[in-house]
Amino acid sequence: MDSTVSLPDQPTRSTTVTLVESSSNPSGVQLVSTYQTHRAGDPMDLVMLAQQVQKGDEFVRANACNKLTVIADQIRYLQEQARKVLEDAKNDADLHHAACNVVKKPGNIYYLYLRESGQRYFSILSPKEWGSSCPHKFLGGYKLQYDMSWTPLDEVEKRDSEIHIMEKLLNQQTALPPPTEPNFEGLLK
Amino acid sequence: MLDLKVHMRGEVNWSHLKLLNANMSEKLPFKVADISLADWGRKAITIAENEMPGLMKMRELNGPTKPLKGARIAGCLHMTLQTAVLIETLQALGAEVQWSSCNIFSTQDHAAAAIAKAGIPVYAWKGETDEEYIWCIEQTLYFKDGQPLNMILDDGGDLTNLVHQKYPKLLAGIKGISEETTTGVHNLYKMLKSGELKVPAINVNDSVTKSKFDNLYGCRESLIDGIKRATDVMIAGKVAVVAGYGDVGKGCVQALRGFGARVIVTEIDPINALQAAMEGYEVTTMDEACKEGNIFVTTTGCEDIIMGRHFENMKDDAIVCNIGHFDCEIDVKWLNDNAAEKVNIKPQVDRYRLKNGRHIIVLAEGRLVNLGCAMGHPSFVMSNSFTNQVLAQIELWTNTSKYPLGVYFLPKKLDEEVAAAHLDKLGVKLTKLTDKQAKYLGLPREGPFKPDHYRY
Repeated sequence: MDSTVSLPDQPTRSTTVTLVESSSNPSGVQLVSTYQTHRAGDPMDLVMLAQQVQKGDEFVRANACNKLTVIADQIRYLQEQARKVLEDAKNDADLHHAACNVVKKPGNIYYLYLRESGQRYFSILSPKEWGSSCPHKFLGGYKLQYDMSWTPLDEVEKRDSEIHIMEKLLNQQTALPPPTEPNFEGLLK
Repeated sequence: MLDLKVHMRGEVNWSHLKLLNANMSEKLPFKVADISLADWGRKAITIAENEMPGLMKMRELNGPTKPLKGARIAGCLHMTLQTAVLIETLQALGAEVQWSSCNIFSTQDHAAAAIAKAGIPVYAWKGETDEEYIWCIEQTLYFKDGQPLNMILDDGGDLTNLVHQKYPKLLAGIKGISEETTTGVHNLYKMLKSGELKVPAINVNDSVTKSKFDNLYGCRESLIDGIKRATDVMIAGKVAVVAGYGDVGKGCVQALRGFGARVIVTEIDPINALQAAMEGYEVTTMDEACKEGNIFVTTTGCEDIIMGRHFENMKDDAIVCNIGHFDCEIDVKWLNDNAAEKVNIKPQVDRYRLKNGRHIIVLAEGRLVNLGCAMGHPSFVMSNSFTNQVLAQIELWTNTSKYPLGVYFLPKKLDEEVAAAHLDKLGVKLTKLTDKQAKYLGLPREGPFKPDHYRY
């Protein structure tokens, strides 16, 4: 049995309240008067029910919306990450294919120059070391990391400190507690 | 690089300071590929020292008197382990030394690192660009106190030319040049003829103890080393054809025969041809020999020795290599243009299938097989060359007045000293002339023992 109710505070919207089906013969017992039994005493009862249904709707939507927002953020973040990974890979590969006469060694910094011919090449000499005799246009300095990725010179310090933290973590083998129960160690401190 | 504390204590000469800064602030104490290789380099240098008795003898004899004191030597020569021993010998004799390599690919990075760590300004790494190569040489011209070089030790002539063309104002302060190799010596004679040469020079290349030894004994060891590393072929029982019976050819022939090959020689010079024949080798033309040989070695220094028509007549899987001069002795271009197929077996080893179905194995693309497929000259042979370098430097530095502008050989007496410096290590017992014997021969008791035209 559905009743459509317009709530007092929202006259333009109506909410459908669904009450439990009635029976004139519940559990085999004949009711004397279903009207008597089923009549709503307080006209606001239905409104209360309707309000609750509506509130439920709103909360569910809000909750779902919250959760979806988090997921959407994550998707956006992951997409961004994926794009960055692809871009970094392309840049790194690009740098690995620049002309170079030396066998490059991870941990060292190499300097990229542009010849008049358009050829880009790596040198172990920095523009400062070249001094005024620097023969070609300087494009940038890069540190070759141990994973064979390249870090631009201005990010080297940041990357080095990140790596340093990771190494410290690796060295402290007990840093992660056994996963018997969820814990927020590190978040609460 | 300026210790300000020291300067501040006394009266500071600011103009001097500024000048130094303007000229010198950019100068690096050294530039090498990887300084962390220094310890490894040092261990390898120690082994090399043991195999370079001539240089160690120089340290022993001349170390206490420091005959090179005051010399500021700029050196430009392959920055290898052997050269490291040379550098430290020059230093032990009192010289200040700065170094660059004379080839963009020849530096042994561990040797350079060890030299850098020893505090010697060295600017060299394997795989320089041409511009970096010149930069490296330029770094060696001015020493730490802003003083310019006053001696040159060169290999190939690039340092000599650079100073003459780009830094002519430094020439007046340079007392001498010692030049290591044929190319550089040609350059010196050319400059002398045209009047461009401004510094007296000693041709180290043509000392008997240099060219006779590294051509003959160096190649005698490194030819087989190259062939074996490249192919692992059994040499015993094979027919080896050696083109040219000069010093290099003689060494190659001896080594091949020593392994049990039957050796055929080709020659254009009747004297060398007769020498080969009287040593018991068959001497014939390449047109004949190409049908018989299993291993072909060119040593001539000439071009067009093994050509297309020869390849077509060779046996299946004939091995062809060059230890002579550059890459013009073997017509590798013909193979590339005319072979049915070229398969690269490994670096420096290519197997061609000819249209007649037979195969040719070419080593080091026809370039020098002992450099391409092996390690070049051993330390001991380099000790001969480098002891000549040391004596040439001492001679030019201490007997400057004896050498007006010109290109000189090292005096025979010093050539003999180079050889003498190697004898102890080998356990050689040298017989001394008695006064009576010396008188009989009309020779000084202590040498020189041979006239300059003697051929050894």
